[in-house]
Amino acid sequence: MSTAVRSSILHLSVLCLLATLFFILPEYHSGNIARILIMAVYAMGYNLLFGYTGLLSLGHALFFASGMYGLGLSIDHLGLSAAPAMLVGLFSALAISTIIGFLALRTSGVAFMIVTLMFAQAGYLTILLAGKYTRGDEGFVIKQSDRIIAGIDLSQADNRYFAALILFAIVFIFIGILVNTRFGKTLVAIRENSERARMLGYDIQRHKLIAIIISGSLSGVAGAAYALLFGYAGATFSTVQYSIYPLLWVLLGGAGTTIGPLIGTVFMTYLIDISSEYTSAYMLIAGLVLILLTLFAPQGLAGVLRKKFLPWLP
Amino acid sequence: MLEVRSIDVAYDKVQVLFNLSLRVERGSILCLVGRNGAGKTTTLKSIMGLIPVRQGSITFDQTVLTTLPPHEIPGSGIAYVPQGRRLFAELSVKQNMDIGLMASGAGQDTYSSVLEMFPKLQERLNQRAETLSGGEQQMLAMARALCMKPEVILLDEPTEGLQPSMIELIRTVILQLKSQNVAIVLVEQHVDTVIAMADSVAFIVHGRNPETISGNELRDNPDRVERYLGVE
Repeated sequence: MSTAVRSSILHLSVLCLLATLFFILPEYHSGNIARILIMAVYAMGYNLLFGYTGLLSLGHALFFASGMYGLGLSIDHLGLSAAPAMLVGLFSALAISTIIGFLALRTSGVAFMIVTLMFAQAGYLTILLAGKYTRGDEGFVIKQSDRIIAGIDLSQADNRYFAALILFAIVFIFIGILVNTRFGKTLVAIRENSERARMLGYDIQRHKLIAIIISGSLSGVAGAAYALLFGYAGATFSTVQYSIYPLLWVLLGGAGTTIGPLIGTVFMTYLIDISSEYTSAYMLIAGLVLILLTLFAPQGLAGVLRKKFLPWLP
Repeated sequence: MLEVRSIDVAYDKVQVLFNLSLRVERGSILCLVGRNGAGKTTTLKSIMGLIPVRQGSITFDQTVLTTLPPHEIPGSGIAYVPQGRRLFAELSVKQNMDIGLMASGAGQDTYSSVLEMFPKLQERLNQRAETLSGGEQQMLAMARALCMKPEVILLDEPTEGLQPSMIELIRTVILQLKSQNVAIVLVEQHVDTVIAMADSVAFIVHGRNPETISGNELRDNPDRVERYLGVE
């Protein structure tokens, strides 16, 4: 069986499993999974830049928040309906990631991390300063009547779950295809040795910029979808914490694997969820598990699977 | 024809190449010979645009390479196999070669003909590059460069640290490329290889090229290589 066939079977099986889970799991968990799927979209966007291109950004919360506020503000202040507001969210993230990418790519390594972090902080402060429109720290709720696309009420648990799953599936398949294209393989070459890739005739800066734009746009779509499905947009989502989350999810799940972001997001969400039932020091447990995983499985869970058992894992 | 005309090259304020000129025709081998730090690798990097040339020019046929951005130089038909191989370590042999093929837009024919030159790689297609032996890594570095169907290939010490059988294989491949009308610029410390293969030899001393002689002149008087390399 060829790698492409195995990979397609894996991707489809994951999607079938996720669709089945809705009918098996209690409502609490299906709500959790819907949230996880949206965050996994965010993590997949992040993974394209970090896992496949080798660029470590600490400012992705800005892209997530761009999508979220692009959608939220256009509904709240411009009176747009949900579908066009999603597009506003997407294009807000696309525009901001283009500008940030263009500026941040003048740096590399640690400087790139710091510059992206600073831009995200500037974004966070802008949201607070523009409190008249964004309602600052408090954020704002998106009314149930505004969360309807093509007559489907996305505030309903089942609709919300399957909307999250559809978005996840689109991005999951898109990433699966993208990383096997010439562009995707070039990103991997850049991650492995950018100088060597340049010597082979690849325009490194252009590829990195496109990767930032795609990554930022996917993060923005996740932000917009989160606001639409869960009915809230808040400044918390633009804090540094939300820039670090996707890094942790991707590291845990397996950077540079298509399935890793989902695994990492599920693992970390449930680790915190379960440990918080037993102790208020749940972040301590999460931190400890993170340290252990980093020490013993630095390639992440899917990375270990790929290295030891499934070399074809995409 | 690749021609380097009177180039000056510097790393910041430290000049390393002074008025250096070279020339290599298609189907011939130019060996660059000099001690460590003489400027041989810098010369190759300058040709690839990785270090800017302050003065002078580098041309390949009608193309002025010194005006091109570095990533466009391989597209003009020049491939570079750096010292230390610089493979994509985490990727498989096939993936490494694919990246070379994608860069040139070459197809299956090129892939097959390159693998014919290096049959050992055929057995290792799915193996990660970092797990190959030194000789196999060198083969892969050359194979990847050949996937770009180069008209000129720059080889920086391709036999360094290899066992004799592997050196012989690399030599055979270089001669095969020469017979296919590829121009070869070879930086080499093995005196035997230089004497056996060179059509011309450019000596480099402290970033300058005091003389370039033909391969026959060198074979008549092999001591000259040893003098420039400082070998007793």
